[in-house]
Amino acid sequence: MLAGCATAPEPGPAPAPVEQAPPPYLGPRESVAVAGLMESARADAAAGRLPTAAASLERALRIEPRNPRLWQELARVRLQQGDFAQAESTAARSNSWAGNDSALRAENQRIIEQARAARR
Amino acid sequence: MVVTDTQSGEVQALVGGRDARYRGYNRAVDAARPVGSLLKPAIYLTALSEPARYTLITPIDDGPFLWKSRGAPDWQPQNYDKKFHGMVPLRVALAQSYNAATARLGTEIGVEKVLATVRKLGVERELRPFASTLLGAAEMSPLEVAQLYQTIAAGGFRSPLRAIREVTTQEGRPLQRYALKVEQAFAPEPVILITAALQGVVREGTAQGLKSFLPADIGAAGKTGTTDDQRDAWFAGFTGDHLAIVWIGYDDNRAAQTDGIEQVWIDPQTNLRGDSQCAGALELPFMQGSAPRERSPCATVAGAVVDTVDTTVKKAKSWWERVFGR
Repeated sequence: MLAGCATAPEPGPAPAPVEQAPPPYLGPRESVAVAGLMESARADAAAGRLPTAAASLERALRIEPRNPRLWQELARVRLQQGDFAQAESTAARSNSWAGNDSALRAENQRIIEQARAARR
Repeated sequence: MVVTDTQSGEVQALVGGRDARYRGYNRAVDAARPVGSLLKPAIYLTALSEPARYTLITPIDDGPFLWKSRGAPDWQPQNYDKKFHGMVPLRVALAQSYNAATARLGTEIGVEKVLATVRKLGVERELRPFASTLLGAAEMSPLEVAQLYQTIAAGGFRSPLRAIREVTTQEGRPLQRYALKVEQAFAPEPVILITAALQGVVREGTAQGLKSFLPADIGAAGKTGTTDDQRDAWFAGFTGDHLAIVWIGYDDNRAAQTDGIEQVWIDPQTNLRGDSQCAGALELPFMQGSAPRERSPCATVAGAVVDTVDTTVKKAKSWWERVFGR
């Protein structure tokens, strides 16, 4: 069931997404190093190299532990990995740093609901 | 001593004793010691999760407290300063680490409920469901205490502490990864409240001595803990980035406070008993009864006779009191 739920925002050989995830945000808030790690994580996730993608995101989080985009990206990878419990709690972690960024919160909510549906 | 990253739960430093390179017994991991007041935040976090009953300013009774339960001796916790303080706001009871108020609060909420909070904070060791556990009769290792405080420091998200990220082959190919895991153990709100209360401990409570070492705007939160006669002295503290747990004591459970020592002001000009006003006065430790009894002329107490000089004797301050100003 989850096979169709890939949410990697990169175009490419990812399985056909059921829903279109919002476009990747690579705004000025990320440092160059973190933006680079995020980009390679997306490429790895799109190519199905999920553990490598997660490792890059964890590295980025060591640099910017309060960056809600990184937590969200990691939640998305967990979803793809089929680790629904971690997908849900990691998206919640993203929310805890999201402030009033409603678009980010909405996407976290979407991940949480998707993870919950998959666990049922 | 254990230092971790508050956000990821990664262990950044682990020191097992004075000889940090010793490869045997590692106190940070292996020692199980009574945690004293370090468990109190679990009680207050449980309380603050019920906003209809408890807020940071709810009055708590710090009057004498007696707990009777069948099959256990009566329990009558005393305060550190041997006084009771009447009605105090909840945050003050934690900041000043009042035992009577905390015991009353903990038994009011229920020991089982508090122990459930301790488990949710990440402590896997089974603690005995006695009222005295509330005031830290329970024994834990510094690493376990770090796990408990980690969950608070991370805003209620529990991450198992990790010391290894991955195991790789010689060529650097990962064989096994220990991924970052988070679990939301508490809603954010009560954790915000307990964090504010723990910042109060550093700002105006038992850990205010830290203020002379840390910039005020760092907003450090923390909790002190001691057991009888300073057999165990603990501090747990965190900022947005780091968490540190320190335990000091002796393996053989000896008291860290040495009763046989007195601290006496000495006038270096005469090597007689002086006071803090003497030029270059030194405060030196003496074995009980071995300090000079004769006063130096610079001592300000006029006409003091030799027999009354004992009034200037004070008990040696422990390192704990020197740092935290208690």
